[in-house]
This record gives sequence, C-alpha cells and structure tokens, in this order.
Amino acid sequence: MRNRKIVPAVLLVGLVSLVAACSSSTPAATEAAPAATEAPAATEAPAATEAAAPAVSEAPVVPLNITWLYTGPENDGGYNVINEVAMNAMGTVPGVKVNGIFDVPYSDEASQITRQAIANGAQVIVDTTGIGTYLTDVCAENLDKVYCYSGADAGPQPANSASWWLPDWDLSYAAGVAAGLMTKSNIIGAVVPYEIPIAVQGINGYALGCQSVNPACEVKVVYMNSYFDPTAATKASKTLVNAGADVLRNLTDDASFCKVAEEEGVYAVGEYNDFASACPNSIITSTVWDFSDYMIEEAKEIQAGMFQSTGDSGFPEITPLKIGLGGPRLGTFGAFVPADVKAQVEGIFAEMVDGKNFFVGPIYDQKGKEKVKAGVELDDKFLFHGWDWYVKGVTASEG
Amino acid sequence: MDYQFLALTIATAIGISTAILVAATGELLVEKVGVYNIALEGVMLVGALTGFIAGQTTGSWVLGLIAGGVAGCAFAMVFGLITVVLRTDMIVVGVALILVALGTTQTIGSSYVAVEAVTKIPNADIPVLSSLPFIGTALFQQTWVTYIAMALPFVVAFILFRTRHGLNMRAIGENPNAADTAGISVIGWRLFYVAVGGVLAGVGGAYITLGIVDSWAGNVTAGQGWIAFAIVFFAGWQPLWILVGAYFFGALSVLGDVGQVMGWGVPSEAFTVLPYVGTVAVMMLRAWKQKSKGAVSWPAALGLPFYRG
Repeated sequence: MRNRKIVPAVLLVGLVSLVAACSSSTPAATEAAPAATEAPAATEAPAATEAAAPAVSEAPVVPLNITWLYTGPENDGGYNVINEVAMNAMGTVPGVKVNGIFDVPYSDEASQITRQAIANGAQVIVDTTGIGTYLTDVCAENLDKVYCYSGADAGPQPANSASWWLPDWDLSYAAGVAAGLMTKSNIIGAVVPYEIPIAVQGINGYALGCQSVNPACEVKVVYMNSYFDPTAATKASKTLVNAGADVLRNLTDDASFCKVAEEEGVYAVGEYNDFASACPNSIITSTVWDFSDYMIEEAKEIQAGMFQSTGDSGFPEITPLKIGLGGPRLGTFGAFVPADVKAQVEGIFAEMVDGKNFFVGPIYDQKGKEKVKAGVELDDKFLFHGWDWYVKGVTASEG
Repeated sequence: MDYQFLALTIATAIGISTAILVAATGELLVEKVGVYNIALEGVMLVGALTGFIAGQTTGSWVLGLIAGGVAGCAFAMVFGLITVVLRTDMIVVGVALILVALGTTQTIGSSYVAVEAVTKIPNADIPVLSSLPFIGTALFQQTWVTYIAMALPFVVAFILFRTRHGLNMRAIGENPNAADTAGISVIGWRLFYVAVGGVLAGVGGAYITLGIVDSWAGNVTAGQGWIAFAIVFFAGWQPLWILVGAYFFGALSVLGDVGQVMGWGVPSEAFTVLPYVGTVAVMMLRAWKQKSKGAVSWPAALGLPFYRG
C-alpha cells in the first residue's frame, strides 16, 4: 500500500531521508594517520630508540574515499550493523576514509545516489544491498573514476567491478544443526525477505543441517517481501510460532524474530549479526557475516594499484569468502545451550573450515523426488547459482 | 488448519490490529464533526516515536502511551489550527504534515533505531475467560490496551447516538450552520475532536513501538495510518463497523503469513497485497450498495471549512 497509495509522497520522503542520511552519515573518519604522531613526543627523551618510526613512513599513504551503500537504516540491529563493522575496519587502513549512505532503495534512485556519491569524490563504491544493474550501469559509465564492489551476484559486470560472497549454505547448515538439536516440536521457522537464490541456499542449508541430526525436522518459511519491516517481521514470526515452530531464524535484517522468540519462549538462531546480546534468552547461536578481513585486503590492493576485477561472467570468479576466524563465523552461544550441543555445532563448523562438504546426496526435493544421487557432492557453483528448488521438509509458497 | 493454530492466528490478528483500531476510532470522531485528518499517518508516527522515547526514558509503558497521546494531540492540533481555524485545504495540509512527520521522526529517532525497548506492554490474560477453550486463546490473552481498544467503538457509538452531545456532534458534521444557529460552537468542537483524534492516533502509534514491535524504526507505521483512514470510509462512519473493518484488515494481513506457513501454494507477493486489495474491494462493494439505495452515509459537511452565515 505504501508503494501505491502514496507514491509521490514516498518519493518525496525518499528525498527527505536521503538528505537526512547524507547529512548524518557517519564519516567514521580515520584520518588519525598513526605514523607521524609518535615522533614529536619523543624529542627530549630519546630512550626507546629501537622503536624507530621511519620504518613506517616508507610506504606513502594513498588517500582513498570509500562510500558504502546500505538498504534500510543505519544501525538496524542486524545486517547493516555487521556491514558497518566491515566498513569501519576498512577505515582503519591508513589513508582510507569511509562513509555510509543508508536507505538506498531498489530502484533507479539507487543509480542517482551512486552518481552523486561519485560526484562527491567517492573512488570506491561498496554495495551491500544487491542493487545489481542500478550499480553496475553507473560503474560502467565511470570506468576510470571508480571501483565497485557488490555483495551479491550482480550478474555481468564492467572491468572496474568485483563481487564478493560467502558460503551461506555452510553457515546455514551449522545453524540448522543447532536448531535441530534444540527443537522439541521438530518444526523450525524462518522469516525470509524475498524469493531469491540467497534465500534458497540459506533455507536448504538450514533444513539439511537440521535433518542431519533430527530426521523429522520441518522448516516453515514466511516471505516478507521486504528486507526491513519490523512490523511485518513480528507478524510473520508470531505466525510461525503459532504454527508450532520453536526455533526462529531471520534472513531479514532486524532483530524482530528473536524478540518474538523471547516473548513466546522459543529459541532462535541469528543471521548476519551476533544477536546474543539483543536476545540472550532465545539465541542459540548466530551466523556472523564478518567481511572485515576481505575489505581491509581489498582497500590495500586498490591503494597499491592492484585492483582485480572478478570479471563479467558472474560466478566462477566470485570466490566465496573463507569462513572461520576473522571472516564469517559462528557467534556467541546462549548460556542456556547444553555443552554437548555447543560442542557438536562447533565441531561441524570446524570441519567446514577445513573444507568438508556437507552437501552430499541423496538430496530430495519438496515432493520427495531424488534430485541428487547418493554420494554426489554439490559444488560451490551449484550451491551459489544453480539451486532453485527447496529440499524435502521445507514449506514455502512458490513464486 | 488445526483448532489451536486457528485460535492463535485470530489472537495475532487482533493484537496487531490494535493500533489501527484505536487510530480509526479517533478518526471517526474527527470526521463526524466534519473534518478529515488525512495526516493520520504522520500523527501516528509522531506518537510512535514520542511514546518509545518516553518509554525508554521513564521505563514505563503507561507513561509512554500517555506521551504518545500528548504528542499526537499536539501534532494534530497543528493540523486543526491550519485547517479548522485558518480554513486551509485539508488534503494539502495533511499530506504536507505527513512528510514533515516522516522526515522529522526519522532524524530525531535515528539514535533510537534498533535500540532495545526497556519497557513493553505486557499481555494480561483475563482470569476464567482466558482459560475457555478456543475463545480464551483467541480473544482473552491480549494486552489491556487491546481490550480497551475493543470497547472503544461501543463507547463512541453510545456517545454519538445516545447522548445529547452526540446529537450536537452529528449536527456539526451534517449541517454546521444549523448547529451554529443553535448555539453550538462549530470551530470549538471541531478543534476539540481533532485533538481527541490526535490523542487516539498518538496512542495507536505508541502501541506499535511499545506493544507490537518493541522498537523504533523510521516509518515504523508503514502505512497503518492510511489504513485507519480508509477503514473509517470502509465502516460507513458507523463505530461498530470500525471494529469489523480493523479486524478484517488484520485478519487479511495475517492470512498472508498463514497461507505461506500452511503451504497453500499461492505466491507470497499475492499475500502481501491481499489486505489492500481486500480493503478496496469491500469499499467498492459498499459504495455500490449505497448507490443502489440512493443514500450517502458520510457526514454532509465532511471536509468543508465552516464560514458563519
């Protein structure tokens, strides 16, 4: 309704909020170039001579302005928070200045926002929202001015662009194991933004993980048709609990799912951010999308003039980020989680980090038909790109 | 769909409709005296943010709701002064005020986004009734605000149709000149009910942040003010139909999630638009019925500024 009834109003509001976002965007300014500051203090006491500063000053500091695009508001309690962590990590690289633009819509306006950011001096655009061609079109117009990063499968891309992704199927599998060990009703739920490939990977991993420890496990999915809408997420979470789900999970951005879980006395597993502090009584664990290491690396490479495009053909060049310490990983476990459950989930995650593939046939689709034969391993390309059907035990409306 | 799930679903639908029900009841009062406060969405937003901030500061949801009501009242009075006293066009002023509310609350509220609520409206199971099978689960395990909201349309119906003051109110909405001649203060009462409507919309907004989502986010009302506005038309300006309209909308919006959980095989997008399509369809049905009866049900002076003489 807000899309139809007040279209002009929404447009204006978008402008207003854009202005607000621009003016309030946190320039987590890290101009504090650590190299030079130390020297003057040491003028009278030449004591610690071994800590000679000049070593650092060899590498010239290359200034780099980086703008991040976010869907939804700053500090949404979930997805944006963890992306802000990576943004600020990027900002710790000497010479790098970062700023964020929030509430970027999935529309032509996203292109205008990107153009404006480039006009304002952004040399690198990092898109966490998956605006796809709204970003790549603008990047193609500015081949020699800007580098673009997409946190999703953005499709064919110009030479100044790169994509990153993480193996959410693995993280989801670990979350599913945690849910499967804790559920009593054998029904677990998920609130999902849209019917998109990311959702299919995440839900299938979740279902297979759960069924690996609990064969009767069912997953019920509610699409919200928005990434950020706390009212809708609350409503969907309540309906899942009403239908018997006793572990909730979010693929949406905010913390509504675990707040409902706290209220209704059921469990939850978090996605994107570590939700343990927001919902200490319900969160079993979270799958934390920490991109910091990758982002720091990329900033340094650009400064060194070593930018590498992931090419124009999508997947094979997009290497899913390595999971484990310093990257995407498991979050804090709830204090109520039994030690053996925690050990089992952590053990499975450790095997993933070592490269074990948990996606091995037989795998059946929703109707019970065998889609992957016994012993066949699914490769990253299929997991990321090819999986367009839900596995057995998943209830979700079909688009 | 099993029995218990149906009861829980009804309970969820009733719970999430509370804000709309309260705001729509207030708007009915406003429209009965001939003013439509199209800025309802904005009033709810102001109430939602103020209520949440007050709840965070004082730690009391009661004070939060009161603060939401007061702020809603103040914001609605801006609308009232411009349209009732200065007689400016209600639509233009209303839409402008919604934009003001959206931008302002987004800016002021930015530091409250995703902050955990320190206080929230608790459920209050009614003794005996709440343990009845089915009905107990469906109706009597709500918050106090929801129970009061359910009773509100009945109170309004009594005032409108069983008291002398209600007759005066309707006279102001139907024929302000006649009311004026009879010594009723048209401007005064219109302002008064704009304020009352503002209080209720503000409380409704605060209910969203303190009772439903337990947090603040920009545009947290997400169109609920517009729905409340539409429900008054939907209800044909009859208080008890407001109750029906609000719960009808709530039921349709929960039905979308239920259909997905039950695997009815309908695209989720269809479920998302269902409440809005449903509301429009019922309103068309109503208009068509009225046309065939040859009578209109809205207050005759609705939306017209009052000039003496």
